[in-house]
Amino acid sequence: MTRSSDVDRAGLLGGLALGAVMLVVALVVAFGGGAPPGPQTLAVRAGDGPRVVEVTLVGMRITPSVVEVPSGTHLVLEVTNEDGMQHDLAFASGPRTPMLGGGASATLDLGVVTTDLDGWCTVPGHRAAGMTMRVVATGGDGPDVAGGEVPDDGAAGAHHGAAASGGGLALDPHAEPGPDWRPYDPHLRPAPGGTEHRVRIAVTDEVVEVAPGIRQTMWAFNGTVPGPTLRGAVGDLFTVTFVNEASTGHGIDFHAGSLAPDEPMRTLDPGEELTYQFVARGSGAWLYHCSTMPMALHVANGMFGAVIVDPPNLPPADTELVLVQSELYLAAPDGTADEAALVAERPTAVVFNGYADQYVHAPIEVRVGERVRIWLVDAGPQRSTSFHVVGGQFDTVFKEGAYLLRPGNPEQGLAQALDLAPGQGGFVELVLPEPGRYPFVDHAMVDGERGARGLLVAVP
Amino acid sequence: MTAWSLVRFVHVVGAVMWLGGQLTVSALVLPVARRRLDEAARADLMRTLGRRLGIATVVAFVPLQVATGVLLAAHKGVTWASLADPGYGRLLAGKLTAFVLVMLAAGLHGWANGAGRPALARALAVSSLLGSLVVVLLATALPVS
Repeated sequence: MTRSSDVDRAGLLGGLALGAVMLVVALVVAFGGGAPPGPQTLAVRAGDGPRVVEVTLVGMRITPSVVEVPSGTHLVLEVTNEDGMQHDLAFASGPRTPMLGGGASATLDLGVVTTDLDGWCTVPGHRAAGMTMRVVATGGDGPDVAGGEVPDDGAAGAHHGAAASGGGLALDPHAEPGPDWRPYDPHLRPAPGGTEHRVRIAVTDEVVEVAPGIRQTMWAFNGTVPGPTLRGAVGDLFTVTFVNEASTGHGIDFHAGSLAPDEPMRTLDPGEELTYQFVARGSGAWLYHCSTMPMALHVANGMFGAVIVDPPNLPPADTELVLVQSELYLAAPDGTADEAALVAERPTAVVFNGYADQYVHAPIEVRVGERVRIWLVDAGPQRSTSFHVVGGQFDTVFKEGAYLLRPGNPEQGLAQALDLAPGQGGFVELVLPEPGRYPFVDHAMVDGERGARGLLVAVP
Repeated sequence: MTAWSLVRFVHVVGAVMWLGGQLTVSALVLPVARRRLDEAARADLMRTLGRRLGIATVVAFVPLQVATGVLLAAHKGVTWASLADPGYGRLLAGKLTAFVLVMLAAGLHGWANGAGRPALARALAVSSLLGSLVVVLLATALPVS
């Protein structure tokens, strides 16, 4: 059957060829062409009337990131925010769009461009994350004809530099807290009854005193830094209504629960709220913090707190304290954290419960011979801690879900410091043997001496 | 194990049965039929099998795969725009392209058979089988996270 076998061969070969075409087409679609967008330069040619350029804001990038126009061109930007979060575009020379929600657009008239212009997104942290663009004036004597109206690069740089230098704010070791200052109560109350805990956490912009004589704008959970301490037992259900009442996007991340972050940890625009539900499956001193990028900045601005989940059969203590360590990167008075100092990892102060030398100014009173349990969480965003009580020894150390040391251990061991990396927690217990003033410090001494210290005062 | 596991299960089982059906017919039934049956009986058998596979494809397979696929993509946060992004989006776009080509080839295969174009019908059947493997290849290449 020659004809039949010819048909077979032709069909087979044709099928192989068609299949190969499908493979190639699919692979071209999947992998071919169009590299991921990198820094993009768009050159605009001179022409009559205003030149319009479309600019998109998405993924911490402004595209195109460089627009070249012949000097003397009237440039208009059609700015579209294609992201899920808010962005805007502001130029050092003055023009700026309103804050744009996802999908929103605005027209930005830059006027006649005669010199280079720098623009960026003003949402905190986005400029540092790379949301910048530059309009380059080509062919003209740009700086010479710039006049006084438009700042040149030097001025723009100086503007940035002023923010970076933190306005010269430094801790004054001799200053006293202001008259309105109230210390953050370090005492930890027992877990409320029941196995279900409902709490509303709202984030607001608050100008708060963070060190003697220094006030900063903090993004505060329920008005305080740290935010409220939650406490429960293993197996308890926490239902958190998280509300963004601040001026920029925020989210929340509870280490105490395990779940897919996609929905509950998403960034909320101002005015939005979500319900975050988790079961505390494990004991420990857990961090919660803002989940919006850049998280370092949001945490440095005070967006953290502790969730205490008691281990089963936790023996009672006479006094329970909670200390959350964090860093301050002081900017200009009433400003938000200094982003340049943050990126350089140069904190102005390292603090317990949000205030430099807080419990030096407001010592914590305990009784001689009573059992003191101190819960610790290191919120960072960047620095570890080595918690130590001067003159004290820990007979109990619990770190990250396990006892490292308990009374009556066969080695008759005791401990001098509890070390925690950012995002870790635990507790220590000790008994102070005689009346006196027992400093507690971060024994990383530089950090201890820039605010991470306090006093336990033992009274008879 | 969530409801999404079930949706994914249905999607994978659908793919398995479609590919398995083609392989069974082409690689198992057809060679045996050629050896055992005369031309008329063989043509009748193959036509019946082809028609049944075609009906199952149109009635059950395509609606089920499209529905579960759309659900899974929506659950993963895939948007039309993200299909253009390198990585997951482009791989998925490639897979969808291959799927559409396979369905076209399968449909044309039925037409070519009816129109008395055996060489073309056979070519389309073979390409449909190969294209299905391309779909599975790209599906396995999709990043998990």
